[in-house]
Amino acid sequence: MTTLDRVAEFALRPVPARMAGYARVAVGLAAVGAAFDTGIILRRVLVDGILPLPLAPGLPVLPAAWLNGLLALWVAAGVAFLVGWRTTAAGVVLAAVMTYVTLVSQQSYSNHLYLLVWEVGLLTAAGAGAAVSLDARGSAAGTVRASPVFLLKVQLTVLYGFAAVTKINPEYLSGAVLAGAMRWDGPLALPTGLRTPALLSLAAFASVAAEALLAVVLWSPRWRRAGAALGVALHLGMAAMIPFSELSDILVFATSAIGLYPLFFDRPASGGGKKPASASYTFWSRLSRSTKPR
Amino acid sequence: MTSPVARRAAAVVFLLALGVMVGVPLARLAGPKPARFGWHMYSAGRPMPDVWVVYPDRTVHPVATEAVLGHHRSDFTDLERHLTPHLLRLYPGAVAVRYQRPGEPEPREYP
Repeated sequence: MTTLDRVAEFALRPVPARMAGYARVAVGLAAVGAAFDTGIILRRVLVDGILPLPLAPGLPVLPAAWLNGLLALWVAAGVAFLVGWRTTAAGVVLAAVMTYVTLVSQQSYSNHLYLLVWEVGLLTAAGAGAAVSLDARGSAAGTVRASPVFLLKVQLTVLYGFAAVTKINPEYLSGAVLAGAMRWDGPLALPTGLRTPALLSLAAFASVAAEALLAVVLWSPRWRRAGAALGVALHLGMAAMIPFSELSDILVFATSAIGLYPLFFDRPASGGGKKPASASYTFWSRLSRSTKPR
Repeated sequence: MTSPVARRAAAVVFLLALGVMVGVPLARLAGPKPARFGWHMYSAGRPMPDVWVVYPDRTVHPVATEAVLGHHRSDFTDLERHLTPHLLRLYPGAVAVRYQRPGEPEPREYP
């Protein structure tokens, strides 16, 4: 059996669907939130006299008159995906709409929208309507494909890992970026006396450390609960820190990131003394078996 | 039962997705920050430049960028390339567009 055959065996192998179902609900919720959030931006961008600033040359810019229709389709597909009604069709439509909006203008691109495109695409490919959904109502606990679930976990690691690595630069670590991003008034604003360069720099170092840890610890059975708590604290801390005008962005981002945490808590489908079959275990074990000397 | 071709296709798609997922942000590390598709959230700030249109007699007129861009992001690329012809259309008689970001010693002028 070649390595490609081993990978194929992993890619098509079924794993329990429940955690992917929970992730789908969270991602669907984030996608609906992103429709409202991005809709506000699109209403400002698709106006006569405003530069479209294309991201994908050749992709036609939607006439402003069609915007409400696009947003209605986005929300309807998002809700259907969330509740798991005709999940595959809803996921395809949702991923297509969000891909278009991500690419149509540099102004409507956002990192959380790009993340959601990956998430909806992979959850759809996994068949995440097989649990916690209207599609699966009344049927026995279903399964999903292992490889998209594994890729979703890798995506979260990549997200946190690169977010940490790219922040290792003098500007960010000085605290200047945090100072520029945080709210300056309101009950949750950092008191003026605490907004010192030293403290802001310390917060910058701490945020890099937290993101770097999150890239690793969610894979560890021993540390993943603590990691999940750290992740929730980090995202909520960001939501508390940034100006109210950017709160919806941050909440969508938090929901789409935290929404993948359940995938790391997938219970191995054990039985008959067989080895566990969680997505990550299966991939690495099968790949390593293929490379062992025989 | 899945055919051997379909099984191998699934494996290739999986490996391609994994490659794009990791390879694109890896490639983005080399360029300026923040960049799209690289997970550079809050890694650096890049403010909008101040913008002026320039007339043949070298007089300049400031442009409110909020009036020509619906939403500002730090990861814009090729802003000047797209904005210059757009402003020259919006301001008849202007012959060039001048840009200067905070901290830049000299303004840049296009075309």
